[in-house]
Amino acid sequence: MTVGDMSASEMAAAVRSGGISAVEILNACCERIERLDGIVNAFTDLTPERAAREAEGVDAAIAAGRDPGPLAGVPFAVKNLFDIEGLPTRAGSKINRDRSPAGADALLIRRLRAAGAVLLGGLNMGEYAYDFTGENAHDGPSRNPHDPGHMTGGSSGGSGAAVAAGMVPLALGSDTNGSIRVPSALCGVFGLKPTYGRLPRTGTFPFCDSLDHVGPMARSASDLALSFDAMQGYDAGDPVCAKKPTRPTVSALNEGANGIRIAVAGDYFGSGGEPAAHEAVARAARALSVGREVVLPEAERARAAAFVMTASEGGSLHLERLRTRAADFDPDTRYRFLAGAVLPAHWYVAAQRFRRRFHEQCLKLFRDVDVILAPATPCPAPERGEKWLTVGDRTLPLRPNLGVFTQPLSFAGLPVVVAPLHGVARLPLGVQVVAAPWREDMALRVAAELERLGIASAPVAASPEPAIRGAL
Amino acid sequence: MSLDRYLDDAAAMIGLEIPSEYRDEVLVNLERIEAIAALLLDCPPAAQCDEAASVFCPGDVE
Repeated sequence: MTVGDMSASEMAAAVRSGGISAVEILNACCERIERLDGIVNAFTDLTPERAAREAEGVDAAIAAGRDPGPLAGVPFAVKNLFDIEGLPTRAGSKINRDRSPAGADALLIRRLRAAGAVLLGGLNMGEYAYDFTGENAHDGPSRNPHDPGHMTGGSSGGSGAAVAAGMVPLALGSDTNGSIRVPSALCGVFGLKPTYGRLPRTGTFPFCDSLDHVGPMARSASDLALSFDAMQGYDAGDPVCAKKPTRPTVSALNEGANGIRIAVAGDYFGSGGEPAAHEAVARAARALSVGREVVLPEAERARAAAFVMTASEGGSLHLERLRTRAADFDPDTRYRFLAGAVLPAHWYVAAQRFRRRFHEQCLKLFRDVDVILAPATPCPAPERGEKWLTVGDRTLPLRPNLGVFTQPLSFAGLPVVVAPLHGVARLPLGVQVVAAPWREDMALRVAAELERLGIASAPVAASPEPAIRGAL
Repeated sequence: MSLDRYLDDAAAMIGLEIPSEYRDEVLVNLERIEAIAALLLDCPPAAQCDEAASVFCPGDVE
C-alpha cells in the first residue's frame, strides 16, 4: 500500500505507532500533488513550508512521548473559502484576492491542527460557492480524477478531486445546497454535511447564511467520523452554531446498523434521475435489507424555497461588489447574483416561513424511521462544459439540476453522509444517507455498514497520467 | 408588470446598474427563479407557518 492509498485513520495509526513519520507522509503527498495537480487542478494555494513545520512538530511530539492527537500527521486541505493565515480568502473569486491576508486560520483548521493534522493548502471551488459543477473562470475547472474530461461537481470541487486523487486523505468543504454532497458523489468519495448549526463556520467566507454548512470529505466513513469528532463543539464566533452537547461518532461505528430503522425516500426522490442514480439507491437498500419507502412531503416545494432563499441572500451579500465590480465576477455566477439581488422580499420571507413547516414535517417522519436513503445526484459526472441534463424525455439546465436531490435536505438542515458507489455506472455515483437532526452518528453508522458490506467504497482514482493528459 | 420593467425598477430602487450586455442573461435567470418560485408562492396557507424559520437570539453583554 502506498501513502496515497492510505486512509486518514491508517496514516494516523502508522504515525502514532512510529511506523512512519509525519514528514514522510507529507513528502509523499507533496510528490503526488506535484505529479497530478497539473491534471486535476485541485489546489489553488499550496503551503508546503508551513506543512513541513507542522509535520516536524508532530514527529517531535512523538519523539518526546507526547500524544500528538487522533489525526497525527494526517495532511489535509480546505476549500479556499476557509481562512488560511497569511493568504487572502479567495472563495473562488477574482475580487477577493484583493482582500488582506487572513490574520488567523478558520476555527475548523485550528481544531484539526490541535488533533495533529497538517494543513497542506487551499482548494479550488466554484466562485463564491454558487456552483454545482466545479468549474471556475478564474482558476480553471477542477477535473474529475476518475476521468478528467468530466466535472468534479461543486462547489467543493477541489476538495472532492484532491481526496479522490489520493493527494490528501481528508479535505474540508462547504455545503449550502449540496456543495459537499454533489462533488463527493461525482468524485466517488465519502462526504458529511452535518446538521445545520453543528459545526462552526467561524473564519469562512459566507454564501447564504441561512443554509451554509461546513464539513469533511474523505475516503471512508471512519475518516469522516474521526475528523468530525475533532471538529465538533460550540463556538460563539458563528451565531448559528448550536449550544448542543457533542455526540462522538467514532465509537458508534462499531455498532454497525443494528437497530437502525432505515427506509428509502420515494416520490420526489424516486424518479427524476438517470436510471443508474436510482439503481445506486436500490443496491444500497438491498444490501441493508430495506424494503420500506417513505415520502418527504413537499420536497419539490422545499427545493424551490431553498432556490429562492439562496438567490436572494447571495445577491444581497454581494450587492456592493455587483455595483462596483460586476465585470470581475465569473460569468457563470454574475447573472444569477444580479437576478437574486432584485428578488421581492415577499418571496424570501415566504421561503423562510415554509422552511419552518417543512422542518416540522421532516421531524414527524423521523419519529418512525432513523435513516433515509436517497440519490445524491441525478447522474454521474457530466462532461466538463456541459450545460444541459437529459433525463428521459426532459432536457433541463444542468447547473441548477445537479442539486435537485440535495437541496431539499439541506433546506431542512438534516445531517447527510454521501456513500459513494463504484461500478453502477462508468463513473461513481453517491447515495445520501439522511438522519434526523443532530444524529450524524446514525448516518455514519449506516454509511460504514455499506462500506463493510462492500457496497460503498472510495478507492483512489487510477492515475494513468499519459492517458489523462490526452483527455485534457 | 413585465419582468423587464420589474428588473429596471427594482434595480434602480437598490442603486444597481445592470449593464446592457448583461441584461438578457439576467432576465433569463430572473425568469428561471420566477418559474421555480411559483411553486413556493402557490403554497396553500395550511403549508405555511406564521413564524419564519430564522431565529435571532440577542447576545449577552460581556
